[in-house]
Amino acid sequence: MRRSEWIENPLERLIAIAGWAAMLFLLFPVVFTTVVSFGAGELIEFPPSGWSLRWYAHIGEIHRVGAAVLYSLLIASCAGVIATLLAVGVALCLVRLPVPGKALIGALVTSPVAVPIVALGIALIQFFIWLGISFTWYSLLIGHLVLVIAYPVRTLVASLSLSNPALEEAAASLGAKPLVAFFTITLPQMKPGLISGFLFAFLISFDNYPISIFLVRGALTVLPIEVFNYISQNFDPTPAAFSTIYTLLLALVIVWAERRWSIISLSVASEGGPGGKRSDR
Amino acid sequence: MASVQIDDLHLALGGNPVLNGVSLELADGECVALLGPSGCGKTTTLRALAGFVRGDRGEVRFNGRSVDGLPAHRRNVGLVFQDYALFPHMTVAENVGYGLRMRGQSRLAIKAAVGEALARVELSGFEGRLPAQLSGGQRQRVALARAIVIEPDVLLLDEPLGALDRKLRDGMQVELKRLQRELGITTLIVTHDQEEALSLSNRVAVMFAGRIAAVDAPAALYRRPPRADVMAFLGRANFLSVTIDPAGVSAGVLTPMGVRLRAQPPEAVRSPAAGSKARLAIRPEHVQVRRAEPDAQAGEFPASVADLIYRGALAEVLLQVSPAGDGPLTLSADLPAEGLNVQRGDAVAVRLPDEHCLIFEENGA
Repeated sequence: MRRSEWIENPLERLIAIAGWAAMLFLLFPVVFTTVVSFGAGELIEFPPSGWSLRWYAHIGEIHRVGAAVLYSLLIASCAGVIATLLAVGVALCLVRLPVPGKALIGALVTSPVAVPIVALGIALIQFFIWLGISFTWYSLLIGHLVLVIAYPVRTLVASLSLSNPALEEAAASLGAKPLVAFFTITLPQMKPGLISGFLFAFLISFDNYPISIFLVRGALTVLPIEVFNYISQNFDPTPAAFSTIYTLLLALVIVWAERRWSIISLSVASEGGPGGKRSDR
Repeated sequence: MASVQIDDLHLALGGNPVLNGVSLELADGECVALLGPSGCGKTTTLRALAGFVRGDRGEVRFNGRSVDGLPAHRRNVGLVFQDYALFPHMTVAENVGYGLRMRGQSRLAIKAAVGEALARVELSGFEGRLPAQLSGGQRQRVALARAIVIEPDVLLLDEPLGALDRKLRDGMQVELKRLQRELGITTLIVTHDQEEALSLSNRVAVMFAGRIAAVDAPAALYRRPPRADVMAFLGRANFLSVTIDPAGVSAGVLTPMGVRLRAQPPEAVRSPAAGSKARLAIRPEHVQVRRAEPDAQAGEFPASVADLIYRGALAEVLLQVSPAGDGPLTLSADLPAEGLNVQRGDAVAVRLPDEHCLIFEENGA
């Protein structure tokens, strides 16, 4: 399609303008933060009156930043891996197996996305206190698992729905035992869903504040908590510098994963919801 | 290689009866086509042979031994799916070698066997391609190679040519037939395409509503089908209501046009009772049409040409017949298109040759 062709259509021109406006709106905070992080002044100012890299050197001043990064990486990695593994089972049950109450299972597993996260956090901490395991790293992990499992379930249901069930039958007819067929045929079909599901879960967990705030105490802390604490007591551009590095790393990972496995197109394809689009034979 | 017996197989899926007593035998090395309209249970029959579904009643035997207890992966059945079901993440060589890998063969043996199988389907040199990089016809050959490389006891083909366009289809038809002959594998082809069924198989089984309606060699089944519905399904046919002579079929049947014919029921089919109503069937290519005054002595009757449909080598002539007493009826006749000397509206003389007319019981399916 040549540019001059579509720009002549008034409706399409309007849509294009709306699209670019939305893009700018979404991008503005990122651009703002990045610009601010290079400011030389003691306070956040836009546009900065002078330029400096000193706030990048100042990131280490965020309280317990080292421990918080490590805890966040640990929790997010574990939550990502465990949620993805659990989601494989859920997705298989929702898409392939003749299990009763599929709709209920799908709704329950994905419901944390719909519940206000603060409410979820309050519920979780009460539950953990009742169990007597509150403020441990694994109760924090369980809380994050509840929050993030919906994402790998969605992406895995999407990749399973897109793969052809006849493939497993073909494998069986060629002599593959059910478990062998699963690992050699079904699982490779689910690979894009596994990768993107893990990435979503990891990122949602790594970034989470409202659940974590209820579940951490004392030395048990995660990055978003410490960054927020810093912001509430200081008004210098250190968090902006931190955010800029964070955004850059994230963007690199997502671009790489999209190039390698087209994860974005997959999460768009899942819009039917768990078990939504499935042609039963 | 194996012979296959399906014995009185019954199967209901989700409460709906799909198979209502299917019985069919395939001799060792034989190629049988299972032909029927969609929903008749032919694919379910194939899936029962493959081991994906199990009959509620009845038995499937390979070489006389029941395989009902054997899961699909232990049946040694080669299966070509309608949509080929190639593994998209594996190369052509990995697809074809998958079954041998499952059988624990060595890498070297697999490579040699895969090469040979690909050569058989004329795809040498495509080992490293992915299914997405192949055309429809090439995918079909890979699916075929993958199924035959395991040296299956039975080869099952589900609508093997269904997804190919006309030209490719004709080529594959010839190739499939050659492969089946060379390898001598007992083969069941499931299809709704009668041309495919007639041209590929040693015998054709026509299936209606979960039962085998007729089994015979293609030519015999086409020429002398044992049932009226089989005749109607397999190619085209004209049907007329006739009355059997009070002295019995051998004395002749009386047509609505007033012409008496000496038509016979197909072999092995019970003759309708003397004096009863019956159905007379004749294929369009056997109806004779001539531009002349009808000669009643020669069994001719008058008709007018209602329409002409050009079909390439043949032209279908729709004949309007107005029998005394009865309402008008339409007969269809296939005539060579070349040298056709009738036009729409012409009055013609029509004859139904005795030897090509078949008699079926009135209520016979």
